[in-house]
Amino acid sequence: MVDPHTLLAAIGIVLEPKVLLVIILSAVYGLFVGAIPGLTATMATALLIPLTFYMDPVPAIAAIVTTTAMAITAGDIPGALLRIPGTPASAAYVDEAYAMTMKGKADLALGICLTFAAVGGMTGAIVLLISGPLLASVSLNFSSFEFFWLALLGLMTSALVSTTDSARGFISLLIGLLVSCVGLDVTSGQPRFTFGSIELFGGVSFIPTMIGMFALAEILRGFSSEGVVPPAPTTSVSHPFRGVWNAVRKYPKSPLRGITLGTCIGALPGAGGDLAAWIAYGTARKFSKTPEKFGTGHEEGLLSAASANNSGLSSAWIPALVFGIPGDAVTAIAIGVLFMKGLNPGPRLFMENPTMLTAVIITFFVANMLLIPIGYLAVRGARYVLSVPRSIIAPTILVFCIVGSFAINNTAFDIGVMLVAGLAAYVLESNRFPIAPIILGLVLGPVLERNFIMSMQIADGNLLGFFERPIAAAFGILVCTVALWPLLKLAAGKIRSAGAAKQI
Amino acid sequence: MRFDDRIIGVAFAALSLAIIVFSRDIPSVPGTTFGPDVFPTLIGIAMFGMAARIFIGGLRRTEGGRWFDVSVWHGQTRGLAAAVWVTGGIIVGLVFFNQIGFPLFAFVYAFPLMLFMGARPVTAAVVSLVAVMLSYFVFSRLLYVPLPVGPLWFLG
Repeated sequence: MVDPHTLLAAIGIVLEPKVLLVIILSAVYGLFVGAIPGLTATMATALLIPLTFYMDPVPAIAAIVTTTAMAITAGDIPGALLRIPGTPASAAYVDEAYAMTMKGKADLALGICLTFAAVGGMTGAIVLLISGPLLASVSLNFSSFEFFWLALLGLMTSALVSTTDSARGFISLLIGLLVSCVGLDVTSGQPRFTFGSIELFGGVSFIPTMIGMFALAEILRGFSSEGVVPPAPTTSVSHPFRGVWNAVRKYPKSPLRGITLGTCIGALPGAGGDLAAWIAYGTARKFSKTPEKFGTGHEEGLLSAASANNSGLSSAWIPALVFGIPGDAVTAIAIGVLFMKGLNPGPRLFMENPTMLTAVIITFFVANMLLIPIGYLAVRGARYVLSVPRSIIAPTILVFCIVGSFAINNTAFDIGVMLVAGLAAYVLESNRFPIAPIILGLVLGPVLERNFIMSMQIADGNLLGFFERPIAAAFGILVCTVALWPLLKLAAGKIRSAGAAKQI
Repeated sequence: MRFDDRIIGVAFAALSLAIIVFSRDIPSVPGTTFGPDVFPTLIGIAMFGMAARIFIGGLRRTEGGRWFDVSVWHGQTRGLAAAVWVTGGIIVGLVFFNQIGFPLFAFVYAFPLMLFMGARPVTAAVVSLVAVMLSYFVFSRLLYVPLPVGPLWFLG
């Protein structure tokens, strides 16, 4: 638990005019980008990174947190009105929200999304505030073995949950790890995969890669038939909070279940909030007295999934800040930013700089509180935001992509990195390869390699040494189970079908 | 732009073999058992296994199927041209970035793209000019990024 002095000092930092201004500007920016169909929350975050590069750590992370929370929630607007999910997480309930719009209940759908995004986000932040320091003090005793397994767990989970085809997820992950190897090896100082290019000696720049993968690839996709956006709705949403309380009274367990699931799943390294929303929606249907109403514009599933969405988003920061293992693409970007600022996320940071980390967590509360008033305005003005033409948006974003990529190292080479990353991400995504594991691999690659090599040296090459410490053994078994999960599922399916065939 | 799983499998298998071959060339540090080549070699081996899985899956699924599919670009002549402009423009900009300078390059890049995508000429001109100048002043004046100005010396 955070001590009161740290808490007060952290609140003082967050209430500084500079930080508050960054939060408010990021909120408006996140809402605008998130509400535009085809522009994602991750893209909004990636485009923001060049600016955070010049900020202090607290406003930098506050900007990322606020932009993400706002963009994800605003992504529900095109989701409900146009059936275009703003994020993979909101894809879980986009059909339900759209069906409600078709029934003339767009106000209620958006009201539920907005209210429970804020409630879920704040609950996740409370869990982070309480559990963060506790987990950090426990993990202070972790050695390279535990950190190796944790990093591997995060990476493998991300590869498995980001797609239905595990081989594709793992290939994405391996691409990220490979890219992280480029440059001078930190321990030996030997160049790897630089092919004589001096620019590559420092490694592949993280920020231009992010911008390319999330912004340029998205714009290229928008030019094809996959990016055709339906016309903006002619009806406006006037009273988004009307009926929300009645819906909660009717289905009180749904948001509670969603928040609990979101917080627990989001806290798993590599899982992130996307999975939480899908599971919450599925669970709500399973426990519902009227499962047949799901998908027809029924608020029960929406209450659960919308709550899980933002609570998972907040709790995804638990493994990111406590262990340095990001939960999703956004936290991976934030971890990268902290690394660039010379701060290594992990238990030591909690002990050495608790005020800064507590301030970062408090920004979650501020961001989620802002969701209600700013989100309300965004919902009221949804019709206008949705009608901003793509012909204006895409070229403007491209200008910011170019200047943002250049600004990191003041070299045009990084604009080339952005282009290559964007083209690669476009081709990979078109062929059903997920992008999130690439980012996690890129960020966690050095952590995984350093702890692997160190552990191998300590264990003298004996792999059983990775299981000698109790916590490392538990993590190791968990990783092996996750790795073998597709095979176990396949075997279980075959046994079941063989049993069914015997019965016939 | 979708490729058949057999092509994807072969491409990643080739990449994984290249990784393994290049990893062998990374000089190791004398006296250490686990050098800088170990991790990339493991990546190469794992990638080969996954590529084989995708290839075998492709063999089972697609009998006589198409090797690649570009149907998402069918009837999207304007979109395809815009994509070529976006990528080609960046390549040209990369080569002449310091000579042309950021403001001029960004305007010449964004303005025709807006027109091409269907924006009205006046709107396109105003928005692209505002976007270029805003990004230039934020990064150059507020964040002190040394953006090249090219022939527009008076902006420097």
